[in-house]
Amino acid sequence: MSPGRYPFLWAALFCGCGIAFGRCAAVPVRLGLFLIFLFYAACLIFRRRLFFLAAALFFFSLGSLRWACVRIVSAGDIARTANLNPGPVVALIGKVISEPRESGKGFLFILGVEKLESGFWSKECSGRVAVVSSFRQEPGARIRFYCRLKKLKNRQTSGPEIAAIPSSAISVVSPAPPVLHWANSLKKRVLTLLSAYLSVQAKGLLDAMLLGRQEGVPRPVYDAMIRTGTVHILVVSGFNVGIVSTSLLVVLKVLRLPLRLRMAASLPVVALYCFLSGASTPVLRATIVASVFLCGYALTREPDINNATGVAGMLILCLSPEQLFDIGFQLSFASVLAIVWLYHPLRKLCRLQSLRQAFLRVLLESGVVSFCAWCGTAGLIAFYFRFFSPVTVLANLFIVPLASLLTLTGFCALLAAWLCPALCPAFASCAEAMLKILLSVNTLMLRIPAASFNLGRP
Amino acid sequence: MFDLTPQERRALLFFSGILIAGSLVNVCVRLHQRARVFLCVQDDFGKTDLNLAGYRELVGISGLGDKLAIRILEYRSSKGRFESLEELKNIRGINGPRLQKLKKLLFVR
Repeated sequence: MSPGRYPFLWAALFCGCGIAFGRCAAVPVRLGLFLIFLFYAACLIFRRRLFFLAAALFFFSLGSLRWACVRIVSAGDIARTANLNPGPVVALIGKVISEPRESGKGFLFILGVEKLESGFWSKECSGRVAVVSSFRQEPGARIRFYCRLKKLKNRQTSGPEIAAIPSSAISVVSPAPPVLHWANSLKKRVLTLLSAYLSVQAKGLLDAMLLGRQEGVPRPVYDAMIRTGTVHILVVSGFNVGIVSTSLLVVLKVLRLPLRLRMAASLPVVALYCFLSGASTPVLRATIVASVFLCGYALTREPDINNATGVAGMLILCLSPEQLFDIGFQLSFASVLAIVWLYHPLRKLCRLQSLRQAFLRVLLESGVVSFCAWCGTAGLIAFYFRFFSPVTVLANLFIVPLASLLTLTGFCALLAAWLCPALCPAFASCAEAMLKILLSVNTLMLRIPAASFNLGRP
Repeated sequence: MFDLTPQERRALLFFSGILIAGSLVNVCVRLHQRARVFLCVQDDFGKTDLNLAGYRELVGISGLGDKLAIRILEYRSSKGRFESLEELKNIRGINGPRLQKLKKLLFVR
């Protein structure tokens, strides 16, 4: 774990510490600037001897400063421009920047505000607002509507602070860019076709596993999976991104394209999948890691998982420091880092490499991976969900391979729905049968005595 | 012919295997209705049967506390059984929005 070998990982860790410090200590911007000045002074005076300390200080102060910058509301932000107590009716013009998801009252999405109009004046402004509309709006489209603005009380960690309650119909000023429009219509068409061959429950679950849309997941199934610690399979993660990029690389290899062109062609497809699945933290992390790996191979450099994860962490934290306090971000990075750091020492400790039976070795290795992920996330799950589930390791041992097969089959069904609809029923039926087995195994795991403990409210 | 690696050959084998297995499942489900129970996810999967649930099961459902669970059990013992989930409206403390939430967690056969 030397800093010279894993510079990006250490940079991300210090940046994260800086953000946490910035939040807890409410660091003034001047102190951040002073810390950066100290860094340069240390570099000038001590050069190499204290380089690591100076670099650590730099990334720490960068994190604190980034947090301080996010907390400063700019003069053109809608939170400053608009009257929120209680606001009059205003016209908002902006771009849909998130995938709309079904809520109790309609479709909830985030709008990147560009212009605010009221009576005889109009102002250019920035910021984000949460909007609930009766119809699904296309991500990337520019829309205009009259609304009242309201400050949100119980907002999510990285969500917007203001809600816009529409008082008129939403009109589309300009549609989404052609690539996004094509991707959205493709997604809609594929899902419509797939739903013809799947039951409602199975469609909702596969939708979550393949495209990250959680609203169709049946509540009892979700609760049961939280209790067994297998709910991570309902989130689009690195595994899905890996399948997409590997499948594409195989197809391009069959077409005899050179290595660098294959890698270059995979990058936009992986980015498109990230956009289609809602660009949540796990998929964003996985996309950045996959991109680093693809670039590494294309440049004939050996990629390293620690540094790739570090780059992903740094980029996400620099773009949105509030993500550090998001449960998804914490669980995603905790599980990956626990697997990366603990797997090899544990594998050596259990002497798995000396096992001759390949099947037994693979089974035990899967168990060790599952145990590592559990070690990394058990504390966070107990803290946030108030559950401690000893059955998690055993449940993951059976459910993760099944979920992997299911994800592969699901992708086959999606591809078939797009390219060759005649094959879709076969893939969809197989996926549904696998899903049935997976849910039955999960139910069985919950019946084991002392499978999970409810820790109660603090 | 395509100069594929062993892993890539395995991947192609997997796809063809899935295709054959899926076709078999599809045929089974179409020919035998009973196979649907074993091979398809039922709409009530994971939900609690309102006519069979005991006190502990009802209390474990999110949105139902001690008092509501007891009222449901009292209503069920007085009426014999629930004919539909809409009957839950007759119980004090269960209104429209709560019933909508409970419909996702309960079922009546």
